[in-house]
Amino acid sequence: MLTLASVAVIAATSGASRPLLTARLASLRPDAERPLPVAEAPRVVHVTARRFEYEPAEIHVAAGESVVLELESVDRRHGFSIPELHVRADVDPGTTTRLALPKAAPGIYVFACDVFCGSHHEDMAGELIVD
Amino acid sequence: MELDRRRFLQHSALATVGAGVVFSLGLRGGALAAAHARDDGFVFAQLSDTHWGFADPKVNPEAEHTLARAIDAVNALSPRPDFVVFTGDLTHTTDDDDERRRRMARFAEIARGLRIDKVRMLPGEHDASLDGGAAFREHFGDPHYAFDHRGVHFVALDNVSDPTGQVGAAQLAWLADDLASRDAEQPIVVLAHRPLFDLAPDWDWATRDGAQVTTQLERFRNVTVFYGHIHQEHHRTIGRIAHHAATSLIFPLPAPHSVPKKAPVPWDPARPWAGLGFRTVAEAGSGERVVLAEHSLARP
Repeated sequence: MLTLASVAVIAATSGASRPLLTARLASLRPDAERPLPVAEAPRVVHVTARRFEYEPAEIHVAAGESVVLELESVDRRHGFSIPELHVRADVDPGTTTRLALPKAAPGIYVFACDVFCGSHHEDMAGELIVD
Repeated sequence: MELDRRRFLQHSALATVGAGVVFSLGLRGGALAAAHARDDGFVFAQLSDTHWGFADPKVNPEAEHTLARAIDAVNALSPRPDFVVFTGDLTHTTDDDDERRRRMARFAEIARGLRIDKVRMLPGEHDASLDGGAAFREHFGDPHYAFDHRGVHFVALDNVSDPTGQVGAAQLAWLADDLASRDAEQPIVVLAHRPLFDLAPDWDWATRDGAQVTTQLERFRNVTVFYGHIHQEHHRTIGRIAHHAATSLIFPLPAPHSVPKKAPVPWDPARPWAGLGFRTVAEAGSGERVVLAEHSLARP
């Protein structure tokens, strides 16, 4: 068994000290076989923007859930803005824009287009519902 | 035109009796105002959101006659305004560039019926956001500008030619340069289409970089902003800056966040033209006070 002192020597003398040290230390851990905890991958929700609507127009999210929106326009530049949560993005044709939703308290948050897009621009809105 | 003290007070009285609401901005003081104190003043009129080309009989079956009705009312004012300003959305938006130009030409033709020498135009997003303001410039010139009138400095800002609803860095720099040499006591009037503060961003009632405008105005003692966009009278004072929204000349919109979904208030046959109108602003030449009068197009 390696001692802590020998680990220190290995770390100091090895040309690739950090990977070696990590490997040696891992072998000393009683729970070495257990996978390290990793951050949960966010759920991805695809949102399509077109004049003058979003699909889906309602996005449901559980409180505390990590969600990333993938936003794409099928016609022209639109905006995707949730003023209450202080997030927004431009949404362009041919490009997928990723927007991480901030964690929010349960409630209904309006999202809307904030890039003027024509005669019913004012109607282009939806709801983020945090359950 | 010269508006002496007696006639200025007459405007206030007329506003109280004939037009309904009077909104006094209170006293304006300061050394410069005192130095320039004299018995004169002036009136200007603010018309907004005419949306020429809009067609929905349930919302306004008199859409083709509403602008002319307002012009008749302005022409009947006494004392006559020194100038008229239209604070945007002169025309209703269209995807057809040729049709946009036809609407602007027709709007301009009707507006020439105003028996007022100076008529100043600002764009709204319906006029300018789909073509970057190109058609507006062809018909009405620069969408942002400044001018002085009887001691008051007017700044007209364009927060719509950029479809994201911003004034933008270039115009902010122009504004800083315009204001740089001005005395903090000089009354400043800002004209714009969108509100310069976050009235209701989820209803698109905001200017994304509006705070960068108001920050530049904070050092002035008397700043008043007149804007349109929200199709209703609205008053809010933030810090030293008073913001006043005007009614529309096509359809009213509901009060901010008063309904789940923003939509035009339908036409009421029992009260035609209710909620539609314009405003006059009486500025005392001494800079002592400003009186707003709201003029409804509806019959009393």
